[in-house]
Amino acid sequence: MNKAISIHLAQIKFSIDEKGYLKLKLYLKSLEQLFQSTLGKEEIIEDIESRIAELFSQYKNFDNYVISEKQVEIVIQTLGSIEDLAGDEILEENTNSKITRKFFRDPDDYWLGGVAGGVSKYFALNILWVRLVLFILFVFGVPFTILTYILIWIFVPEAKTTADKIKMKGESVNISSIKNKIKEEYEELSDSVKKGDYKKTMGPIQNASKSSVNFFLKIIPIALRTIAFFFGIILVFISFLSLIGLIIGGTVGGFFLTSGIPFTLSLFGFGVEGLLIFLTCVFVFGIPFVFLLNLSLILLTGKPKIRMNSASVFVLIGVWISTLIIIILIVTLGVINLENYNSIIEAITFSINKIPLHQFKITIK
Amino acid sequence: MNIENTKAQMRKGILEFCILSILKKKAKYSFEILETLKVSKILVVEGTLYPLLTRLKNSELLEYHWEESKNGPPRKYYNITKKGKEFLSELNVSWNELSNTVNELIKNIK
Repeated sequence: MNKAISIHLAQIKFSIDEKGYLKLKLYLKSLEQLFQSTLGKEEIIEDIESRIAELFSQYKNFDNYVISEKQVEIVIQTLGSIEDLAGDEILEENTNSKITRKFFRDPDDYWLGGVAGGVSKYFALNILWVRLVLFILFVFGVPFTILTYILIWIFVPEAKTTADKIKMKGESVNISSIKNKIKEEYEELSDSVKKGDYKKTMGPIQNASKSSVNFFLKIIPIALRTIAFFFGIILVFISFLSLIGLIIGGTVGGFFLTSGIPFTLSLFGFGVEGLLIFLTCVFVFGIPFVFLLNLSLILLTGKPKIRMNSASVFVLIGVWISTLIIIILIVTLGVINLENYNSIIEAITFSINKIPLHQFKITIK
Repeated sequence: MNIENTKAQMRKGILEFCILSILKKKAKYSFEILETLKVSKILVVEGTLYPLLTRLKNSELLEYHWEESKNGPPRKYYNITKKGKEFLSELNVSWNELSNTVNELIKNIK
């Protein structure tokens, strides 16, 4: 027993076997990628869809006929596999085999926005090195690095299509590279099908028979989504502004807090304690805001904008706890230091008072 | 130089020439064009045809009109434009020249 999925092609309704549907969907998606830079892409796809509808109509002997997987395969074969068609299409614009890389964010290799992934693909470096450099930059110039990262995140597009991903890696876009990439994507797709992850592959599946019963059930999520949307907007503002405020405030505060205090060792004009306090502050307050920002974006868009795998979540939590400990230590030590400082000053004033005034001289260099 | 590339370019040019020739006398819809091409084995898969038709149409060598079909969706019937006819006759001349030259050349080298 298999599920049947109802679709329409060229305004004709068809029921297709679930597996056949997946194959057809993948085929049409690949076609779209194949023709993406061809003039008149929409029209070509429409023509092909209409031809598929015509071929399906020949199979459809009675109203509730379900097109089988096999029949979908035959239709795809008649129209030509992606490889067959790629032979004619891709080459048109890439007759020169010059390899040019394009900078994209890498959606397949990310911790936050895929910027490091994109940079590593662009310069053909191991992503570990890029992350290391990014980390070092982060340590020495926090506001600048974060700002740059966020700007890149906002303005550099993600490599969405197969051709984008190939361009990102600087392989020339030709039949074999497209073939390989599409094969990879197909494997991913069929994996997710096996796991039963239909959300990813099929999108919303209409279930016509239940629609009237579900009317109220449908209203509730819409209302919830609207509320979530407004909350999301407010939260995005709060957390984004807080993050920026934290960065600016932390820098300025960290600098002023420590630059005037005598016991501070000076490093890059920025006290060591100042740097420490600043960094830990950024982590201690920043990390929760990152989660908050993410939460609000989930509320807004329904999917996490800042995508984190479980490893990075653990790392962030770990960093947060350790910085919390550090800041507590610094504050306690600072208080002790301050007490020492006060007692030293007292001692000095005390001894000054003991010295007869006419013997007391201060030389200022 | 990529052999696949050259072959594809060649096939594409020739296919465009063939499509224009097929439509010279009478408007046809895509499947009829396909059948003629398939008989002569110049076209292997159907999908290749659609981008070509769209391109020829966008270059104003072809135009189309819709016709209802008894079974299945409405069909696009393509016919050749005046510009297309001029284009075709030029192609005819150069095709004849080309095939003559190439045949001569091959014969002489043998």
